[in-house]
Amino acid sequence: MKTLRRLATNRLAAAGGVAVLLTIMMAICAPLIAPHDPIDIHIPDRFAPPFSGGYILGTDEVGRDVLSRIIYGSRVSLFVATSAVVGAVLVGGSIGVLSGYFGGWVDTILMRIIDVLFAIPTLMIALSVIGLFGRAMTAIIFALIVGYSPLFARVCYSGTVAVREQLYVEASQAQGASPWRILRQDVLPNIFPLIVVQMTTYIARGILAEASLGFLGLGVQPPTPTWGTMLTLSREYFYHSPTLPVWPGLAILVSVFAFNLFGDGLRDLFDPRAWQAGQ
Amino acid sequence: MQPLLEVADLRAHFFTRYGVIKAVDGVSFEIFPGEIVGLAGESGCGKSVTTQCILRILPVPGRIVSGDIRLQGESLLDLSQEEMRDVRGGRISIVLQDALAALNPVITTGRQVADVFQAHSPVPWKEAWQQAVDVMRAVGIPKPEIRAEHYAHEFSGGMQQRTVIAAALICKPDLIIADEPTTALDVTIQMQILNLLKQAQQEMGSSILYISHDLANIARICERVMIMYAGQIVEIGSVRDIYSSPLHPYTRGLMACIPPMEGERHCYLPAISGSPPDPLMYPAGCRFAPRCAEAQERCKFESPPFNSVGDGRYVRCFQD
Repeated sequence: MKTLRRLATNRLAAAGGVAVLLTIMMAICAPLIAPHDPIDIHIPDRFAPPFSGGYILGTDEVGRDVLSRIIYGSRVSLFVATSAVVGAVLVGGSIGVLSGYFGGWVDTILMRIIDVLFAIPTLMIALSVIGLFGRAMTAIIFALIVGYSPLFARVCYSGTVAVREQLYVEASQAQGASPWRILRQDVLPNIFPLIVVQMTTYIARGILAEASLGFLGLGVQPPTPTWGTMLTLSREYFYHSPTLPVWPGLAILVSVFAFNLFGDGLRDLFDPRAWQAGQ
Repeated sequence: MQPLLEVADLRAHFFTRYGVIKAVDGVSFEIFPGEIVGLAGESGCGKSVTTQCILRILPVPGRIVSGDIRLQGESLLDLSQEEMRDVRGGRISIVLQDALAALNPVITTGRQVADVFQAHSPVPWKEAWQQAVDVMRAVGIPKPEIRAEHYAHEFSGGMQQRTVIAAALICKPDLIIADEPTTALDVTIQMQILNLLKQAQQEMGSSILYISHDLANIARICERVMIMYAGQIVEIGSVRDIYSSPLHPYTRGLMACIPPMEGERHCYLPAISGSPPDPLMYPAGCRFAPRCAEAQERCKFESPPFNSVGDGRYVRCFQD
């Protein structure tokens, strides 16, 4: 409760948090709130403008309800982005924390490999992984995990190295704490804010990456609605129906922005030194 | 009586790319059960490295190259890392100088104190927490059940140091190493912390190795004192003997630097001329010889032995 109240005092972060929550709710409750079936083709109603014939945001080139597709699209976007980021935190984060804490030559080699991966743009890595494993959703998630792991490895590595040099780590050592206890009590709590901020930023990026892959025709395949593919397809009918690309674009913009705001708020939330008196 | 801690001809060297730094070079001393021993010396003389050796937490590239450290007759250098972890914080604990830096900023103080207890005895968390609150009360933290939920930065400097002491006391160790615990505090709080350490020693019967460069504080709580210079102990004796009749020229120099309480008010304080030797190239003979007013020819080439001069006094000098 205390934590929630602290978050509420930061208005931007709270707004971000609410928007994130709404997006998640939207994804979970999609079948309940979507007014139409998102893949139900209705040729006679194609290119219906917004607020006409029972379609709040209009219909697309084959007469599917845009609002329903946006609602269902959030499922793919959020699922791909969050699982990619969580996977990247687990993989990259562990490599970073362990290399940073224990050092040694194995870790030096691991971190150099990470550096090499870091030099290649994420989308390039993603493209090659999809090229290898096909366009299934799991392949896309795997591709993004590979692409994002180096970043989390780097962040966790530098955070761990900085924490390792702190006197309280020496104090814990002198008090008989085992390396695992030190990792759990000293290293992780102190680098957690760094990880959380990176996570929310990268969930935002993951949404964009999924959209980009969809835009390139390499994302989750039609007819499954995703924001990225909706954007791609609508581009072709832009002159005919100019509002069509606006909705998926807006959905991406709002959710990315919400995750960014929320992440900034979380960082302050996890640092007791940033709390104001009386909270 | 069997000494609690015996350090015998301890040598710890740092193998850097510039050469070998002999931070601790032939240190021998004993601490008996229940006594408070002072270890004094200027910055960089090897006081803290000595404590790191005792706990075996020397940072790389440091290594203990020879000597022995025995706790109740058992060599600490033979213990495995796991066994050593039981010693650290359990039988030997340490109070560090910079209390704020020694406390984890994002974990409540009570949890950190309780953690030390739980690391050494497998008790449920609730019990460890209760122990932590009790020991925090014992070290004079008011309303410990509330304060234990607070973070280190919400404490004053004195309260932070009390928390660090609480963590050091919670397992009732045989030996408490206090590494300049009062340096960062103002004098009234210094006094309180010294009394607290002394009280802990009396109630638990622990020994204390009190490290400081403040001779006045050492005189206040220690029975015996060891003077360290350039990686070696140059003199050991009771506080009374050493303060009233220092034997080693370095100790004499240190005592002369204490401002006199009486006499001329506007006089210059004497200082020991020169500076400590470069630890990469110690002089061949006595390490204090280049600064010593009484140095003879042989002092430059021969290392003086560490001789007993009776009454538990030892001095590293050719003079009698």
